[in-house]
Parts: sequence; C-alpha cells; structure tokens
Amino acid sequence: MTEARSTDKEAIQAVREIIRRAGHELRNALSGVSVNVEVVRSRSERGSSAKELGSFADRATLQVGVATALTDGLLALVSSVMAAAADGTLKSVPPHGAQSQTELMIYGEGAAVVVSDIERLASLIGVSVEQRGKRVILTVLPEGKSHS
Amino acid sequence: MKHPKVLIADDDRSITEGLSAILRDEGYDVAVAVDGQKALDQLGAEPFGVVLADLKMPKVDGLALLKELQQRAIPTECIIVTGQATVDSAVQAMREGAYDYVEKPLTADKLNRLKALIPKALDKFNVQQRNRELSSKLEGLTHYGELTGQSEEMRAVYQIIEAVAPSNASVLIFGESGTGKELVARAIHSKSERAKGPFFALNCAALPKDILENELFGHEKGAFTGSVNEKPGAFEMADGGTIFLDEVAEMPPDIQVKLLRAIESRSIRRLGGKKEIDVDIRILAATNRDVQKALSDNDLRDDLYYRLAVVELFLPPMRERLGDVKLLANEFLVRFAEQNGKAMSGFDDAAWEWILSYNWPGNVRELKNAVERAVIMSRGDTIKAADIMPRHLHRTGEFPTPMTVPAGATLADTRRQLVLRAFASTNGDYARTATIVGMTAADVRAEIASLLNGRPGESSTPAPTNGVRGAKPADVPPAAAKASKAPVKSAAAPAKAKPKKR
Repeated sequence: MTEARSTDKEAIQAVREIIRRAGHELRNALSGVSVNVEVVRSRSERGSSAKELGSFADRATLQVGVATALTDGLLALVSSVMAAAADGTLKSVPPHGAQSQTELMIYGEGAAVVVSDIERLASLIGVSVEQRGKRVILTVLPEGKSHS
Repeated sequence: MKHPKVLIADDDRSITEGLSAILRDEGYDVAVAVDGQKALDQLGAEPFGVVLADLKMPKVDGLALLKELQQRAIPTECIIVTGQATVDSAVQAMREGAYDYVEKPLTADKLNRLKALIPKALDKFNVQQRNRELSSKLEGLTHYGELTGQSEEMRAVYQIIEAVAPSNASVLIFGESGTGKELVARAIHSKSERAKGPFFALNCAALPKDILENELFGHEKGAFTGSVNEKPGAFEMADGGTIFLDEVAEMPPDIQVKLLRAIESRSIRRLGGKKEIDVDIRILAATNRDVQKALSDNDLRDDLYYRLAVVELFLPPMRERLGDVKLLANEFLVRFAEQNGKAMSGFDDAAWEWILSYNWPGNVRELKNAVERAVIMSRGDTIKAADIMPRHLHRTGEFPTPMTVPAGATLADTRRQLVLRAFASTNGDYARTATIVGMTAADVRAEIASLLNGRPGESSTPAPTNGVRGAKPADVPPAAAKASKAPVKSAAAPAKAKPKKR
C-alpha cells in the first residue's frame, strides 16, 4: 500500500512537470499572439500595407494554433490522469535512465482523440508518448532536448 | 540621430519577430539572438543599452547570461522576460543583477509596461556609461583645471566636479586649509555654462561683519556716513556667473540670514536700498570646519547649510593623497625655478625622503611654500633636505601615516627614516627623539647632521663635541642648531598633530 502511494506520488510529480512545461509554452504562444497582433494593430493605424501586416497576422494565427494544441493537450492529459487516478491505473514505471516515466490507461470512446491531443502536447514540451494498447507511457525528456 | 540599441535574446521566433517590430516602431535599433550564447557573443562585440532576455533559452539560459554579463563586466541593463512565472525565478534574476522582470504572456498591459521600462533602463545605462567614460578619461590624468593630482582620491574629486559642473546646484566644499578649495570652485565654474560669466570669491572670515555685508550686497549712496557713491556688491558683480564664499561657517549669523534670503529669492537689496535687484548666480561655498559641530554650535544655520550643501565635495588632505606629493613637489620646483631664474635639476634623495615622510599639515599650500623657499635658499642646482626641511621642524605634529619600509631597504635607511620622523614629531627635540627611537641623543644628532649635509647613512659613528658632525654653520637650520646646543630635555610623548588653520 505504502509502495503504491509512493508510486502514485512519483507519477503525480511527472504529471506536474508536464503541466509546468505546458504552461510555459502556452504563455510563450500567447505572447506570440499578443505581440504580433499588437504589430498589426499599431501598424494598421499608420496605414501599413496588407502585405506588410500579413506576415505578423500569419504568425499570430500560427501561435493561436500552438496555444490551441497546448490547451487541448492539457485538457486531455488532465482528464485522463484524473480518470486513471480514480481507477488506480496511474502509476510510475521504473525510470529509463534519468528520464521519469509515467503510465496511465486511456480507454473508452474518444480515446484515440485524447491520445492524439496528448501526443501533440507532448511533441511541444519535450515528452515522448508510447502507446501499448490501452496503456500510454509518458516519458519526460530532459529540458531543451526535443521541443522547439 | 543614433537609435538606442536593444538586444532581444529569445529562442521563440514568433515573439522575437513581433517584439522587434514593436520596438523598431518605438525608435530602437533592435538585434535578435536566438540563444544565450549568441546573446553573449553579440554583447561582447558591440554595446547594447538594454537586453530583453528570456529566462529559458538553449545553451545559456537567462540567469547564466546575467552571471556572465557580471563576470565579464559587459555594460548593459537586462530585463528578464519569461514564461516561468515563479517568485523564486524573479527574485533570483533580480539578485543576479537584472534591471527588472516581466512575465509572459505579454498581454497589452505587460507590453506597455515593457515599453515603459526600456527607456528607464536605457537612462540608467547611459548614466553609467557616462561615468565609465569619465572614469577612463580621468584615469592617468595629472591635472584638472588648476588642480594637480593623479591619486584615486583626486580622481574622485575630478569626477564629482565633472558631474556637478553643468548643473546649477550649490556645492559645499569641505577641506582643510591649503587643500585647494578655491581651485575646486574655479574648476566647477570654468566647466559650467557660466564659464563666460564672472567668478567672484569672497573670504567670509577675513572681513569684519559690516564690511562683509557691504561686500556681499553693496550699498546705495548715503547708506551710511561716508558712502558718497553707490556700490554694487559681490552678488551683483557675480551676476551671470558664480560666487564663491570661502569659510562660510565663519559668517556672522545675521548675515547668514540675509544670505539665505538672497539664495532663496535670487534677489538682493543693497544696504540703504529699497528695491530688490534680481541676480542670476550660482553659489559655491567652502569650509574647513567640522560642519556638524558648526551646526550644533549654531555657528552655521541649518537652513543655510541645506541650501548650500546640495552637493558636498570633500577635498582630501595631503596626507591622504601621498601619491600626489612627488608630482606636486616636482611641479612647484619647475614653477619656482623658472620664476626665480634658477636652473634646478631636482631634489636629492634625502630631500625626497623628507618630503615623502612629512605629513604636510598645511597641505598643498605648505608644500608649495616649502618648495618656493627651498628654491630661493638653495645654493646648488639640487634641493637638499636642509633646504626644504628646517622651517617645518618648528611646527610639525606627529606622523599619522604608517611608515613603509621597502623590500631591500638597509637597516641604516630604516633607522634614518625612523629618526627623521621622530625628530619632526618632537619639534626637533634630540632627547625626546632619542627616547622614542631608543638611541642615544648623540647618535640622533649625528643622524640628523648627516642628513642635513646630504650624506644620509653616515651617522653611526660617535658624534663630535658640537653634536653636528661636519655641518657648516650656514647649513644648520636654526631649530636644529638651537636644539643641538640646548641641554638635553627630559623625554615626553610627542604632541598630537592638529591641522593648522589659516
């Protein structure tokens, strides 16, 4: 029992790290939206050309996409983790080198979409996702290794 | 017009592109570094007034960048912009020397805050840059206006003068008598925008009250018995320029009140006059008094002090700028040799030893007078210890400075220096000197005599009966000659030195 709780604690720690990274990237993406919109706003007031403003608008749109992916991924992860914690399938697996690994079960209707959202999030924050049937293993990679 | 330079260090292109555009629109010259290492490389290659650095970057992160900037002494102001919104990271960034900290996301409010922070950070950078340029300009400088000195203490004085001169602020100059307070005032005036206007100096201690008041404010015709003409005072004569009030703490209290009123209203009324006369002056003042004591003794009014001491400048005494003694002595030698039409080659070793070990309580003025006298009295082309030393033996105090024995100095050199210092501290008392240094009075006489003859180090042999071995009567200074013939006095501790007031 004590071991199980300890395992859960490590899993929760890994999930916290994933959320921290996601939060950081989300703030970055929102900043990207904000500063580029600000350029469009201020330059359009001065009568800049649509061509000139286009690249900033495109960049803002791109960052809205990133922010959306991060938000969807976070929502999918949090709901999956809560469900896994409730049915006791959230657990830490023995570390692979220095990288902490967390396993959770994702199943039921819409599981594919949920996993897809988590994969998208993971690709943006330095986390790898491995799916073995219903089992999903998240590996938190060292910071700055894989994400942009 | 040159645009201020800002470096954005962030690996997120969507942010750097947008932020660059915003800052360029604000008039900045913007460069981007995509990681901390590239930021360091760019900062090392060219100056940037401000760096906007992300806390989390590849290779070198924001905190490491701050540390490197400090270690490499790269001048810039760093504003940390980060998505890691934790108090710890903010505190750490500030501790590492960040100018400020802005959290992402950069909402419109935060962007406005960032836009407001950049000019403030640039102001700080520019002020520090000016100070750095000034420091490097002043480094190695031996002269500033009429002031001479290359010591760290004098460079600090030059720096204050340079900073304060362009303003209109009143400056209160502190310094012992003879340190050059009026020269500082003249330097401030000549470096100011009032340089083309008059500089009017008045010694407040040198004049009786009525005359001082008249000198300051002038009088109307018939103001007092014998005033047959009107006369403008110093305030009117210094209009458009600078007035320097030396020994201001000696000014009588009721004149201090009038002075305060004149400073506050920028207008004066002549003695016997009814109309106010506007004056445009800058006031510089000086005192050699302990100002806190002068205030507590009610010799100087608090309100006048605060008006005069907008900037305070402390002029170091000669004993605290020993590094300048040689420079000054040589300069005075050249000046007075030329004035007196004498070809002088310099000071001999014994003379230097005296000059460098004496504590010059009368400061630069005393050194100047001593060298002038030595040039006049000298019979050769080299100033000897006897030429420069005697006059001061009458009025020296103890030496507050430690004695330095250079590596390689002989025992004889060290003994001679000890004897010389003790001899000066006892006002030329052989017996007291002997007690202090632990020698016989005869040995002290011999040591001093050999020094006065310019033959240091020949003093260990027993002294002749007259106590001044080999000294010609003309070479023996009155004090030394008198002391050498005087009966041996009982030993006593040397008197405590006090700066001489003039």
